[in-house]
Amino acid sequence: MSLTINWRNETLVLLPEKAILWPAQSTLLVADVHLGKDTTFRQHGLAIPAGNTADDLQTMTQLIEQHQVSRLLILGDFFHHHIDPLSNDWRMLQAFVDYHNQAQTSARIEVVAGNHDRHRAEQNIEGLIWHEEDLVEGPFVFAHHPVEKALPDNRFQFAGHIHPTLRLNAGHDRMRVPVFWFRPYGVVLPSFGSMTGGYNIRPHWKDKVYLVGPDAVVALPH
Amino acid sequence: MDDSVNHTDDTVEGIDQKSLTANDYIEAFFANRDWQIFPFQRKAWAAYQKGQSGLVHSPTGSGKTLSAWLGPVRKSLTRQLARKNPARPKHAQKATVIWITPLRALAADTLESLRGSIEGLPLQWTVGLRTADTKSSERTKQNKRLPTALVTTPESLSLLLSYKAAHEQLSQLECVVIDEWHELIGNKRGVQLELCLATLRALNPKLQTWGLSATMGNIDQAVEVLLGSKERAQQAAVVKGAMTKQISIESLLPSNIERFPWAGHLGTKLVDGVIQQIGQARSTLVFTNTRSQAELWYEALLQAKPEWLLDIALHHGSLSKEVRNKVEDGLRDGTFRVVVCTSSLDLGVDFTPVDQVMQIGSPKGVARLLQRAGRSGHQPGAVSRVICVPTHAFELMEIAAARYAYEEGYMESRRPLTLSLDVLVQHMVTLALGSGFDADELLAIVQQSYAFQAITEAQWQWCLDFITRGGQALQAYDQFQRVVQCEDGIYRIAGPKIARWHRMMIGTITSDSSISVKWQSGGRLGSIEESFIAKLKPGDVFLFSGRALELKRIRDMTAYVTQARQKKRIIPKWQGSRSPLSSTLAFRMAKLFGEFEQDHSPEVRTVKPILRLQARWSKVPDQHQVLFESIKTREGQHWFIYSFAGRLVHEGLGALFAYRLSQHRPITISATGNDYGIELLSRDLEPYPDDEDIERMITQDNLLDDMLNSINQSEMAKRQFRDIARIAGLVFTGYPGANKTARQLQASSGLIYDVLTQYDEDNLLLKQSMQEVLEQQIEYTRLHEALYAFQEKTILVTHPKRLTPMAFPLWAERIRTQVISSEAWKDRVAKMLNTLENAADK
Repeated sequence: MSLTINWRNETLVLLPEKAILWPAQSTLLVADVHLGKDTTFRQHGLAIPAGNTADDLQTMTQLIEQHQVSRLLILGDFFHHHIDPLSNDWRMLQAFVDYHNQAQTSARIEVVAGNHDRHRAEQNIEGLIWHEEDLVEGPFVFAHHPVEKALPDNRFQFAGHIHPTLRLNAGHDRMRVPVFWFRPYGVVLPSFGSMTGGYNIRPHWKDKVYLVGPDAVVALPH
Repeated sequence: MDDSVNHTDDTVEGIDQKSLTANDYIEAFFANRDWQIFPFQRKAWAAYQKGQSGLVHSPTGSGKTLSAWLGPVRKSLTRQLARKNPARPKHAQKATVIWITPLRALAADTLESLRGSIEGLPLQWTVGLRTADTKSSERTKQNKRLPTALVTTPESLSLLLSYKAAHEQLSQLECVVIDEWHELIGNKRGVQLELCLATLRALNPKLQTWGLSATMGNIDQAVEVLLGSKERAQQAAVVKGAMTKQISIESLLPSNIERFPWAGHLGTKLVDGVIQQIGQARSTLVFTNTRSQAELWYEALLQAKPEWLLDIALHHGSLSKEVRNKVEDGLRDGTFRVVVCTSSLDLGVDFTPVDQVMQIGSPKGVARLLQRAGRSGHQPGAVSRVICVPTHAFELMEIAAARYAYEEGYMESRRPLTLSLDVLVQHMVTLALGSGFDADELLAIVQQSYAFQAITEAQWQWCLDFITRGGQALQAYDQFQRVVQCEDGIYRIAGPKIARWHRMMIGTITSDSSISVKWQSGGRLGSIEESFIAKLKPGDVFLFSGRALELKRIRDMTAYVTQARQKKRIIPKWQGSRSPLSSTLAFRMAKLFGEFEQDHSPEVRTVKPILRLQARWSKVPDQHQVLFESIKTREGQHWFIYSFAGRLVHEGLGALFAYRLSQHRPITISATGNDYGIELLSRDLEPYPDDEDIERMITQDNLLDDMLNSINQSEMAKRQFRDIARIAGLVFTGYPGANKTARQLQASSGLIYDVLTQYDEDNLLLKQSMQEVLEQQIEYTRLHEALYAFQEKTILVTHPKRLTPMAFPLWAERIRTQVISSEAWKDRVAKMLNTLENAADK
């Protein structure tokens, strides 16, 4: 179950697929997809099965179609490493972009470049829109690296990069869950990719934290 | 390091050199040192001369090294003396002996003693060292030309097999000696060594293998594992070493004893008695069971005797190598009055000045206690004395039971691991990197090891697929490369980069994910388990290396600390630090409980009032009985069940019983276990466990399924998978000290476990992980036996009015795991104690 929240007078829907739906902007936001991570591992002799890249692309397609947005905005680290233009990963990726550009309810696929996207020039995926700099739209900034202090004009930032998770303890039981982390100057999205790890955050009491479960998003009570 | 022994003097004092036999040289060697040759040494040499392999075992004592080493030396010497010109040859003899030691720290001392013992012989032997500390230039030199005898570790031997040039030299090898074999049997380093031995034997079928071992309950099996097959084991010589010294096991008896013994508070109450004992000896080793206990006792001794500051040292596995080396040197020189240590000093060279050994708490096993006792009394004729210091009353029973078990000749067994596929795939890649391998030939070799004699065709094929394709053939493992089958049919490594990485990975079998502890101002203190540090916040104070430290920050796998000013502190709990009571000791304990009225040992006499109270309030079970105590308190209904099977088994049984009862009727039950028994607690349990309930709990039907359902199996398996992933090469462990260069390959083993579960659920490494959880974390085989024993034994049910002396420690254990702050826990336990003491006085 998704969770609709009101933030700075904007209605945002936090989805358990680790994405934010922004109906007013007809935009879907995700961060840190790390496509091709499994392939990179295999090329280095680590026996990781394939499947998650296809599944992640599939999930993004489903979300775009289900919510009928006109834009998917990826907040950096779309790719994990170099993607060989002759590989399955590359073909799936190009097909994914083509499909959404040509579909009747077409959606643009845009990426704010992250540190892992450094091979983007060689990748040459047609129809994929890259933003080399942080993207500023009105009072909002879309970036990869989260800010630690106030932005000019009191702008609010959407970012990724740190793969926020929270460690929960209840007696003997311990678990670690991905979170949406709302801080005074911006929100950090959980990592979207199914082969990404996490970093345990220590939220400030003023922060707002939303936990992502298998099929629901819930607010962490204060 | 200079690895050749050069002498100008070829004569042995007072003997006419010309007519000497090899035996004369050996006799002279012993005579010159005023040593006598033990019959078992002659027996081992004779067996070696005949071409036999074998195992030399004794509970403690010396002489084992020479019994194995002088075999090949004597043989070469005989050959040399039979020549026309028996003078020392010009060129060093080719690689003849490999000497494996499980501890890197021991290697240098072993090297010295091996070298020393061939001085003066007309042999041109070079003796060299190869461990992870050996310089790479030296290692490269060795790859081209190995010394006559090489002292090394299992990991370094495995690494040596990854060099093609080494294979040709190793085919000439005459003998492999495995020192401290008992330390390797039962873990994955042992499995790795078994595979290496099988490979060496394939290179030279006449290779002689000799093991040196402490006594074990299953010595025949140990021989079989060492040699890989029953046939070879039957032809081997099993030599019982001389019992060179007497061992005396004593206890430090408390003047007044707590009637309600509780484990876990690590009581340092007997510190005054310990200090008195230390004062009577020249140099004392104080063994503890855990690193945290060592830290605590070090602190307590210093507090009681501040003037000993320079005479006390601390030694455990998390301290830095420099600190440990300094302490070990001090022990050798006799500069320390007392060293508080853990199993880190169980093994190793003799510290001759040490004349007293103390053991804090129960040793939990007979073999372990004897090993520790053997660390003292190296002077000829001296008795090895170990003084045990109980931390709670029932530990006195354990100490007495350990002494009886020793006197009656009972000893723990060490169970070898089998079918550890993670180790096998690592070895396969190592060989692909070395000389390359033919699949059928390698399978035949692998089947010559004990661990893999029962490997199935399907398992073997899976391993081949794993290293060549990544997984099963039908699955998409796009762009995977590690090992390739070349056109000539031989499997070889896929490229130089993979080769380099694999070499870095070998030897990560013994690994703990530890992070270094460093002063903020610079300087390393040691390492500590990540799981402990993860619970701390900057500003928290913890006790480490005998100091109170304040955590400043954690970065790049390093915890930066400063000297703490605050008083409140946390003592690190190191993982795996508590070993359960061994089954040998547990069995003897149960017997001793049953016979306590007839026993007159000082320990049992001291505990007798407590046992009588137990008998008055409930019963003391004998070895043919299982005691059920049903007690009602404000917390609810408790069922205490005592089966003396060790903590891991009781934890497993507790979970199983709770699960089975809750399957029958919807109730919530909490379960706790310690070395003696189980506590089940619920608001909804009946006061009278009826026969049906008991039958329901202890039935053998559906045991495995129920067991798996009762534990958090996926979480446990995931944790167990950490080691497997590293050994099988599923995670990149990185370059030492330069993790950043491979950031694109960083992933936790937990994540990989999830990915495999989702996309390759038939992966055999996942199955292995579950198997290891069963065998290692809950000791399934032992649990199965314990449950079987329930059906054999008489079940006694009692209804005491309040917690009995046997129930109390279980109760305290549960409270300890429930309450977060240790202060609150101590308060609660103290209050409860008061109530019980009052009741007992009436």
